[in-house]
Amino acid sequence: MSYIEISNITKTFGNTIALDNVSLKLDQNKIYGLLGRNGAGKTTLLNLITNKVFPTEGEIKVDGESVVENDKLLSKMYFMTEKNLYPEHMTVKSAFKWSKEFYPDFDENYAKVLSEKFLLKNSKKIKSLSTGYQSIFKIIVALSCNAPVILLDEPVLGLDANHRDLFYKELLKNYSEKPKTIIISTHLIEEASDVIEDVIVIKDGKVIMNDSVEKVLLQGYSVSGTAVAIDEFIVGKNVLGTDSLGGLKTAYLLEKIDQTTIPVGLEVTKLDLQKLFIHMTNS
Amino acid sequence: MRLKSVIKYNISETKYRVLIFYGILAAIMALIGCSQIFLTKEDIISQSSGFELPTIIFLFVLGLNSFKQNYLFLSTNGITRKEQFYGFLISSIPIVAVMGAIDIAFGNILMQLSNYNSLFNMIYEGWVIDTAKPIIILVAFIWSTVLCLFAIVLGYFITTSYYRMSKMMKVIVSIGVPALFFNILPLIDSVFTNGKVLGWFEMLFISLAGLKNGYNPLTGIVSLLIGASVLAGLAFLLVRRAPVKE
Repeated sequence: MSYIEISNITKTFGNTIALDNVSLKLDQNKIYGLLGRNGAGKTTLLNLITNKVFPTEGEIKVDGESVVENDKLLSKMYFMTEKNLYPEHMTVKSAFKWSKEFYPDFDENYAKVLSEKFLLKNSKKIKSLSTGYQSIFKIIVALSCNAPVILLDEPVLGLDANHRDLFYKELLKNYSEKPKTIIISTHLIEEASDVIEDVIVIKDGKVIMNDSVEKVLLQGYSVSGTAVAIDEFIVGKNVLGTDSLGGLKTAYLLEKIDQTTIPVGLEVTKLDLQKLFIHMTNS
Repeated sequence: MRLKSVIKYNISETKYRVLIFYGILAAIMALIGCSQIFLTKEDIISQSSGFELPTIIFLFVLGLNSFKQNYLFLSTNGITRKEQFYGFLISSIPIVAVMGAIDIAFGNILMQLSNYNSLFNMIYEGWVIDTAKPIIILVAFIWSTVLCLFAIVLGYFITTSYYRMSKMMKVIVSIGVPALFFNILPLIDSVFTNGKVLGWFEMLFISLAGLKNGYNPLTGIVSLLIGASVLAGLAFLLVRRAPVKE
C-alpha cells in the first residue's frame, strides 16, 4: 500500500485550474523529485499534501487517513515553503526552540551542527538573513525535525554552489541514517537528479510523468561526436535536442538504444534528465 | 495534540507586549498622579477615571494582531486550524484574567490614593453604592475580564474576516461599514424615522449592559459572554477553512 495517496485532486483558484484531476501514489522512505515549469502546480500540490489549502475536488491520504485537519498526520510532515513564514522578530535560535516544541523529535544538537557547517549565525533574526541563508535555515529545520515526511519547495533557492553541494550531501546522509519520504520541488534538475529516486513531472496542472529516474533515463540516451557524424546519425531519429561546441556535438535521443547501430567514433552516455524535462514541458 | 504547545507559544508571544503596555501605562499614571498633587496645591479639584479603557483598546489591537502571523507560523509547524483556534481562545483566558485583575487592583489602589473612579463604578454607580466592597471587587473583576475577552475576540474576528476577504471585499467593508453607521444610518434616521433607529440601538445597548431597569452588572457580564461566544463561533467558521496565503 502506498504511503501518500493523492486521488483525483483538482484545485482551482477563481477561473485558473492549478491542478486538474491529479492522482499519485507515493511510497514510504523514498526521495521524489517534483518537476515542472513555473506555475505548473508543484507548490499547490505540496500545499494540498500538507493541508495548507483545501482541494476543490478529490482527497489526499497519508498512511490511510485523510490529511484534512489531521493533527496526527500533520505532525509527521514538515513543509519547507519557498517563502519565509516565520515571525519578523524571531531569531534562528528561538525558531529551533519552537520547532522542538512542535516537533518533539526535533534534534537541536543536529541543528546546531548543521548551522556550524553552513555558517549560519543562530543569534540572527530570520527576516534579516539573505535569501540563501533563509533557505539554509529552513533546510536545517526540515532535516532536524525528524518528521517521516519532508517536503522541500525550492530548497536551494539563493544557495551558492558550495552550499548546494553541502545540502545534497547532508540530505543523503540524513536520509541514509533516518530514511524518510522526501519530496523535492526544484528547477535545478541536473543537480537534483543525482539525489532523487523517482521523478514526477507536472505540466499545466496534470501529471505527465511519474516513474523512477533510472527507468526514465533508459527511455533514451545521449550521443557525442563530431558534428558531421552526429548530424548523419540522428537523421530519422527522435531527437530531444542538441548541444554544439566547436566541431563537437551532443544529441539527446528519446528512443531505445541499439548498440549495434552506433557508428565507431561516437560516444554514448545516459540521457540528460534536464533535456528530457525541457522536451516534455515545452508547449 | 499539540494544543499545549500552541498555548505556550501564544502566551510567550503576548507576554512582552503586555509588559510594555503596563510599563507605558504606569508611566502615564505616575505623570497624572504627580500632576494631581501639583494641582491640589493650587486648590483645583482634579479627577481621573476609566484606566480600564486603554486595556480594552490594547486587547482589541492584540486580537487584531493575533491571527495572520501566528497562523502562518503555526501552519508551517503543522498545527491544525482547530488547534490554533482553541489555542488562541484558551491562551486568551489567562491573559484577560490577569489584565482584568491588574486593572481592578490598580483601580482600587488609585481610589485609595486619589480622586479616581473606575469604569465599572461609573457605569454601575447605583449598584456599587448598595453593595459590599468584596462583592464589588469580585463582580468588577469578572465584568472587567469578560469585557477584555470580548475586546480580544472582537479583534480576532475582524482580522480573520479580513484575512478571508478578497481585496475588493476589504475595500467595500472598510469604507461601507463606517459609512453605514456614521453617515447613512444617522442621515436616514434623522430624515425618515425621526431618531427611532438610533434610539433603538441606544436602548439595546442599555439593556445589554444591564442598565434598563436599574443597575445590573450580571446582565452586562452575560451579554458580553454571549457576544464573545458568538464572535468566537463566527471566527471559528472563518478559520476552519482558511487557506495559507503566503
